Amino acid sequence: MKEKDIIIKWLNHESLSETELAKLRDMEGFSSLKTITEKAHHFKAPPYNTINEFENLKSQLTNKMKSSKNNSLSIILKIAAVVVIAIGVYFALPTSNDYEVKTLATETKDITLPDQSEVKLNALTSIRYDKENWSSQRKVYLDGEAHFKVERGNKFDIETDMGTVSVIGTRFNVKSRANYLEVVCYQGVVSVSAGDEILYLRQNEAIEYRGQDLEKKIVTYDMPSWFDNRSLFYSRPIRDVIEELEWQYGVKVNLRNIDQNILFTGNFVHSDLKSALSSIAIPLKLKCKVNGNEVTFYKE
Amino acid sequence: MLKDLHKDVCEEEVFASVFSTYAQDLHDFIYYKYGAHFGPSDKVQEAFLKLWENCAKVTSAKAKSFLFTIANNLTLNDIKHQKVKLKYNKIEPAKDTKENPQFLLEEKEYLEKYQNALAKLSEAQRVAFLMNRIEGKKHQEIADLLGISRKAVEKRIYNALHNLRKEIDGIP
Repeated sequence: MKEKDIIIKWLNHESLSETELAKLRDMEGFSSLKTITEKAHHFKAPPYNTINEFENLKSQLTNKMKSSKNNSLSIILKIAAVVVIAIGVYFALPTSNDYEVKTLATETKDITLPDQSEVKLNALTSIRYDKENWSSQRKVYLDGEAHFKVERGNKFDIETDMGTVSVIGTRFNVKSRANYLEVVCYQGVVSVSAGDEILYLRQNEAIEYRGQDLEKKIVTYDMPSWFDNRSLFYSRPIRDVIEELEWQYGVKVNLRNIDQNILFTGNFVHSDLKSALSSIAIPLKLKCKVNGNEVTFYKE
Repeated sequence: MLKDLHKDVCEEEVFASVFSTYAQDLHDFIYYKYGAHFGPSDKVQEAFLKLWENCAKVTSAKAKSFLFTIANNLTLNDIKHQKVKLKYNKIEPAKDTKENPQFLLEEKEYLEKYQNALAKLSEAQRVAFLMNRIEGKKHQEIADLLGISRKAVEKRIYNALHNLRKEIDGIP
């Protein structure tokens, strides 16, 4: 038997034969090994009282023990909840293949559609389209504001809450708010159908729709103002300006002592709330107060 | 010992028997591996709390490895590169000791060396060695607890002993 095997046997608390013991004793350094094995007990773990510890654990578990009676029921409830949510989600989405892109307040985003058409999303905007069937139907659902640069090809539809915009190879901006639709055409031809009207826009033409008439107007700029992180207004009622401000910064704006129909011409930046507020307040001779997420304009 | 290995541990009786079977070993395992620093008995409590929370998923056959893994992970979470120090039990200065101060001093020095040598062992070697030497466990018992082969345990203990000797006797 080799030395190592004897040591292992010895370490395993097995009884050794006389010859093995003799061999062990003659080994070089054995006395040292023996001391080490004997002194090990000095490092014994602190006493562990199983009974006390269990009582301890039990007191911690008391509450859980009680609730565990309902364990099987709660599992069934959990499964039921998941099924209900899954069904809900399935029916809530129009098509399972829909792909959605969203932006947060003060965020803009560039996306490329499957046909290389480019879309630039303004703040708090969501766009949804069907990736799978894109080649047969170019259609996006828009909520918010976006600039489109559409590749030539089949009809391209943009559905909004207020109406549908259809185009063939062109560049234009669509702004869809709860009660407001604005389409500006920068290149090519766009058709807008809202309510029961259909209108065609050529280069530098725009329409505004508030639920009654489609209003046509002419624009002189060839890029939406939000491209340089600005909102531009020409003779627009203050309430529209405020709505846009709320949209861009995700704040709540109150008007106190102010006629909601006074007109505003000017712009505000999207990058700095303070200077945006001054841009509105100073020309109209208003005062302004900020409290957390709430902005109040008032007249003295 | 454990009646039905395929039963989950949600029943109080099964849970209690799992506790009485493994709590002490689990405590010793954590202590010898990581020292007193991280509160081994707290880790045992936490591990059993986790076991209770997951009782429906864990059969009593799997409880052991579940507990050892959880307690180990909990301790690892606590560790921030601290060195393991196992306290040696103070040598009680007996009132009418026949041992002279010289002896006591040497004993103290020896244990300090021992302590450092233990700290330098790998965790695996230290656990196996101390469970064997102090708790008097046989190689097979340790192998079962740690879920490794008996050969591996033998090797760990044997190497631990040699490393300790090298360190304590100052053999290069």
